[in-house]
Amino acid sequence: MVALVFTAGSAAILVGAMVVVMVPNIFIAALGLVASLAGIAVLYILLDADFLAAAQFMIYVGGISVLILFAVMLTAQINRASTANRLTPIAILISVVSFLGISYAMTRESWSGVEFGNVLLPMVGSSDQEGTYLGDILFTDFLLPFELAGILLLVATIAALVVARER
Amino acid sequence: MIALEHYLILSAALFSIGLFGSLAKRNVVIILMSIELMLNGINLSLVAFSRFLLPSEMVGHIFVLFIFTIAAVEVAIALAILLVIFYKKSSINSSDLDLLKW
Repeated sequence: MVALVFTAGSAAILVGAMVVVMVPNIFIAALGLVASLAGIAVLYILLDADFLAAAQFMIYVGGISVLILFAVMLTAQINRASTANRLTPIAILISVVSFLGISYAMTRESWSGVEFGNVLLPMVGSSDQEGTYLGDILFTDFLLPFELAGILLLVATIAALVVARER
Repeated sequence: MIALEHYLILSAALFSIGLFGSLAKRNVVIILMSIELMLNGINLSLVAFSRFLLPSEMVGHIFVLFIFTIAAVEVAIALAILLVIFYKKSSINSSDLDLLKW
């Protein structure tokens, strides 16, 4: 069952990603991106990262994809603009080398001793759920980066408004 | 059983596809989508490492949450810049954006 879901999710990811980089129609490419991001969310569920799966759906599938679709509609060069440039053979070479290199580096060490064990989260209050623990460490150990991320979002919102406003 | 290697190779493949797209495409929107694919490949490997190696600490989850934030910020600003460029030049091909090129 797990293997079946993993296969389906990774097929969605890879096919969606190939659609993004292969299809000349940019609208269909955006739909391929949605399929790929949804497949990632499925794999997050398999990895017991329920909160991240929900966040992936809300932020990527719901937010970023809609933003990209807006850009596709507003810039309206749907059929002719996504042609490949002159670097395509070199790009294929670089990406194949990068895939082989990363795969080799990541599997050179044997991970056979690593088990897919049970998750034992520490108790926070009266709950040992993932979201509770995540919120707890976000507001204790990772408080400074959390606040900085909030400031970054505020600055980016203002910056996007200033850049894109009518002159 | 699905082992750690499967997730790692899948994330490497996703990263490489995104790398190809960001190098070989002319349309800036497609390049942005490819960057999102690369970020998602990284996120997948982070969550897999966290789940298999340190399942009770969730440090990978924290990394991924901050990468979500950065990705959202990046897309918002990039698309704002993109719209301005499109209004000025009526094109979003990266080969037409040669103002700073001599």
